[in-house]
Amino acid sequence: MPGGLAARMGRAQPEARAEFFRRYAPQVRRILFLQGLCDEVDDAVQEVFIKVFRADLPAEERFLAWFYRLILNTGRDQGRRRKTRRGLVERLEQLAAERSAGTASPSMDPAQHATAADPALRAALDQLTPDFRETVALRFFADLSLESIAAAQDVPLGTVKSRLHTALARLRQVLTEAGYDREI
Amino acid sequence: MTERDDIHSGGRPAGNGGSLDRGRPFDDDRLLHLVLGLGTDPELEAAAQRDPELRRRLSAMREEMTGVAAGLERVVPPPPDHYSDLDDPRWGELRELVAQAPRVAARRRPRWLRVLAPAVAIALVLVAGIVGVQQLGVERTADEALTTGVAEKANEGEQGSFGAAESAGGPVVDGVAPSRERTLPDPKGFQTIVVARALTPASGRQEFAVERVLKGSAPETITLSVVLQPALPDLLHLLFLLPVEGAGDDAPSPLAGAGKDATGLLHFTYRGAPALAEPLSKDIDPTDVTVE
Repeated sequence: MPGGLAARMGRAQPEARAEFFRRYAPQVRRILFLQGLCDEVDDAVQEVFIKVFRADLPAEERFLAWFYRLILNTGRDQGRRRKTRRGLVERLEQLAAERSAGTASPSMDPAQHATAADPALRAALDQLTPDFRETVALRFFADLSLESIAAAQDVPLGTVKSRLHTALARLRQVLTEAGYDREI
Repeated sequence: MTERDDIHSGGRPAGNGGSLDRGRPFDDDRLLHLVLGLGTDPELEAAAQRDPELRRRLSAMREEMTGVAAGLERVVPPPPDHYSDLDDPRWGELRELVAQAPRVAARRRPRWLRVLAPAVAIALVLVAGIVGVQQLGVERTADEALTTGVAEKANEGEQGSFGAAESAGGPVVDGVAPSRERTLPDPKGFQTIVVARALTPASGRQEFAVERVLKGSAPETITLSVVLQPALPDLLHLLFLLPVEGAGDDAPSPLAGAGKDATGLLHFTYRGAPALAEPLSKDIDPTDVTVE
């Protein structure tokens, strides 16, 4: 995060808040999607940032760990409140349909077309528990270090390593069986 | 899958890896542990240098992880560019909160501080002024000695900020002092462009601390997979990430040549896609960097 941004947000500067939102909203959305507990992900995204902007922010060196913990907890809270039981696979398939219909990002890499392995990958992700999916999301979508993931999930470092290893081994196995399609 | 499914359930059975070592075998679990950056494994890395088959397996494992990363990008893609536009109707409540943000910090200052602070500031200015006048007599005699040295240092600094002695002949990115003739990638060919500081590489990966986002969005830290040669730690780089197929056709091919091509660009992969890193001048200010 750019130096001083958390401090400026702590001083409730509108420009800082807008910049923070622009920078992190896409990532928050992907983390919540993969966590797989929310029916309405955009509602959860908005709730995350409302909480951030209303909170007494921690010191800058602790801010990001606090922020990612807030994202995960918001997703879990939404999951407890949700009224439908729509599964992760269904939500991910809807994402794919949006992209095919052209409502996804026009600047998204068009080389990342759907492959035959994608349904198997979605199913494999659905079979992971939310804790494991959160670890994968924080590693791949937020690029957090293992230590930062441990802080965000409030678990020991060894647990993060174990989850990541298990989840990635499973996903690798699924893609190998389905046939890797390197259309990148 | 539960917490009880430990790492032993994630890989193929041990002994399937064709280990050369009579101790713990170099099975897929062990290779995966290294590739994911979950820990160092000097024994495995040393063995891979001696054993072409092990090296091939390690390379294949890295490719497979690249495939997993690419798969995750496909099934959970980034949202549309306009997603984080606060004017979008979906962000109504948030927009109001951002727009009406009160300057709470200023009102929190206690009364005694509001009265005392200006008085202290005035006193400090007076003290600084008195001390400064007293020092002026001493400094005046040193000035003459410094003058020549300052001029010399200015000349050195001007050369230093341009890196190597060769003058630049190629296109210039604003604020980037080129040290040699070179061609930068076409910015239109990439979704994300950032100014980031390289950290120490480890286990085939290198993290970059993002200091400024020039295009797209980016997390605080970006982790790239090294193709052959890592970036110099602690140096700022211009990172070109997530290429757009078909755009920027005149950009240097990310897959051409070795980890560093003739233009000085460093090659990495990021989330399964080629990524490029352009080293920047040592003393450059990230806020001065722009791309056209």
